[in-house]
Amino acid sequence: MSLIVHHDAELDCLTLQLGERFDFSIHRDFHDACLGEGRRARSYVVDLGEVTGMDSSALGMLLLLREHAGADRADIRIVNASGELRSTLRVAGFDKLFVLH
Amino acid sequence: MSFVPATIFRNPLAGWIASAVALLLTLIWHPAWLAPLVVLALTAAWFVATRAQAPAEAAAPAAAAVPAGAGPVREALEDVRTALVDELGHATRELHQCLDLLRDAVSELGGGFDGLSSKTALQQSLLKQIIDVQDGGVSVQDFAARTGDLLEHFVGMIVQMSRESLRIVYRIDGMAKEMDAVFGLLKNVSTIAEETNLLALNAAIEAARAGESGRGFAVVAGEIRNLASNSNQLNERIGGHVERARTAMEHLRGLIGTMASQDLNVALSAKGGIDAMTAHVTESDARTSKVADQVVEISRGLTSDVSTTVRSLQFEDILRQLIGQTRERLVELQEVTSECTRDIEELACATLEAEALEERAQNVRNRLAIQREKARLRSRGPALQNSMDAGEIELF
Repeated sequence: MSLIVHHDAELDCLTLQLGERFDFSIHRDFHDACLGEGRRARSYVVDLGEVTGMDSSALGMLLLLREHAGADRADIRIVNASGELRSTLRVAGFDKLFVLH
Repeated sequence: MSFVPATIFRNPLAGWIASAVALLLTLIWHPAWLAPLVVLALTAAWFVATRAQAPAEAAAPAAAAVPAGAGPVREALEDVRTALVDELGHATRELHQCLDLLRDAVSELGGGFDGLSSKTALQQSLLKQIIDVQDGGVSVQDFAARTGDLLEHFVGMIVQMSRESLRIVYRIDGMAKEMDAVFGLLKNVSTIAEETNLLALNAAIEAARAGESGRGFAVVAGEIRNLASNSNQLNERIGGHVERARTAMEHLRGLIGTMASQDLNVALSAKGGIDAMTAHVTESDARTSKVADQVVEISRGLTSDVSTTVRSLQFEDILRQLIGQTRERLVELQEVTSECTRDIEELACATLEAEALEERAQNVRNRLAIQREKARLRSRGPALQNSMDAGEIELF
């Protein structure tokens, strides 16, 4: 499974655990998991712990998630990213838009 | 005791006779030890005689009126005067040479140090130009920073494009769902048509059973069957169109998906390269600036050293004054020696009245007094510069 979704009902926190590849191939799963109508959680955790490959569409998906979650009011944490992914996110300026752990 | 040989040997004839006697003695009586003994005795006698003679000659001018020995005294004094005057003349000429050498050497040294000083100044100004250019112009660091900004902008644009592409893809997915719904509805329409067809068939059967009275109804049933068939055909055509539209949308989706999936590694490695370059340039800038500071410091030290050295060259002036003064003294000494020895010679050798003698002696004393006065005045006169530090020379 390339995307595991877990919803913590008590905290209303949606955890998205990505597989090895975070790219266009999972865009539909990603959409179904968190971008659909009426599925807005209070906070989101994106776990990149297993991700080894990432392209620009992954960043596009994260931006869409941010918009969906309320843009500047969004509470999205990106966790377990490797050094390389982290520098990619930083080059794209994501350290200013998301909380990077 | 020693007076006897002295008086004997003062006369050259006595010496000759003594030598002849000694020769005869050795010829007549010749044991081996006699010859060295005689030689020894003669040498001792000669030595004693010359020792006795020297004070006698020195005392000659003091013993004013001894006209008897006037000739040798005059000669001796003449020799002394000539020797002294010659020596003093040599000394004066040598001092003159010294002065010339000193002047040439100092002038060359001065020229060399002036050249050194101007070259140092040139070096310093060139260095300043380099530093100014570094400070004022666009540095490599600026360039790297701007390139970094550009790269971030570029990455940002790619990400924005991906986001918009994804948005379109999601829209297309939404449309595909609508199409599927239309497809589903078309199936329903098809079912209705088939049921209508069946209904029309039943109606036709019923009409046939009714016979003549059902004939009109049979015609209507046939028309309804035709309608159902037409409706089915239309349905199939609509289905075909919707299917093609779906395929086209799927294709479009693939294209936009490709657009959305851009590899970010190139931008990332470029960014890493720029970061490394910036760090390198920063380090290199710091090092260059440090070295430039050091060079400026060295250059400043060099200027100060040259200034000190040029100031030290003032010793030429002092030395020249000193040597000049010494030359003057030597010339005067030459004159004084010449005049005084002449007077002394007169005193020693001429047969003069006591009064005239006293006058000559007074002349000598006066001449010496004048010389002493001159020396005194000179030492009081305009003070010579004694120290190099007295004057400062400021270069540039």
